[in-house]
Amino acid sequence: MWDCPCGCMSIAGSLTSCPMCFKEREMPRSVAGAQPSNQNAQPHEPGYIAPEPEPAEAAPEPVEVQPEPEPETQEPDTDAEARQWARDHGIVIPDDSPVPEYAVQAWLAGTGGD
Amino acid sequence: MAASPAAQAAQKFTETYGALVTGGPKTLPASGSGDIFLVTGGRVIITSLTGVVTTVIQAQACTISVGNKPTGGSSSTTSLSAASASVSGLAVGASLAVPQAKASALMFSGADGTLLWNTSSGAQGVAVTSGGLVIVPAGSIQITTSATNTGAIQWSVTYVPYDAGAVVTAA
Repeated sequence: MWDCPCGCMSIAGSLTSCPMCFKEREMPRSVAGAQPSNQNAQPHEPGYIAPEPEPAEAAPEPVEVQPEPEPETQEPDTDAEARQWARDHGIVIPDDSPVPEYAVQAWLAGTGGD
Repeated sequence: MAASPAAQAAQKFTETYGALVTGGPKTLPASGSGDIFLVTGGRVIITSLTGVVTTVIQAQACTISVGNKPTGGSSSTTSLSAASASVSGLAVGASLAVPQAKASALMFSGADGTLLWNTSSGAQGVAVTSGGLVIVPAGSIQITTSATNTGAIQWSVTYVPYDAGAVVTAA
């Protein structure tokens, strides 16, 4: 038994339309295959399936705040230090020659490399 | 980048005769000894030891000899050269050198600074030899004067480490 919105009541369940207004019986909507049976159903109508809420707009990825780079500590210019120390101690090194190993050895022996 | 001719020459010199160490001008010690080089870290082979007068030597009799005073062992000074003839009035530019011959006197030139490999008298002059003049232990290389004279000499030494890590520096 079913009632028609037109006011006709207790209509036989075998009838698919109202005998007075011929309006088709509203059938409860079912969901098949995750799809609504009546995709046009309005929110107040049976079978309405509220759409999945759209995922909130992805929050912007947090920007990783890079710490301020430490100011580079100046590596001691050991070559220049060794050269100067060696010269101060009489070791002859031409300007355009690399500091020879024996001069570095002398510098290390004399200063410990400090 | 190719090394400059000067750098190549320096490298060749070092390969042949060893490291060159030249101290600043040193005034003559007053009737005694004064260090001119320090040897540390072990033994070295001295391949030459020379000097050049930078301030005229006072005109009064004075001899100079060169020796090595080790830091260990006996700590007594060993002569690397016998005493020179008097250096009285030796002019700026004059050269001095430890001779190769054992127990020979420290040699010196005139103001022209030229020391011959072999003098006319047959004695050996300045020696710069890859074979080495002498091997010395760690300690100091000194000059010893017989009087108190004004004047200054700039000394140079070439050496090759005999023990790993042995070095020579100007005193």
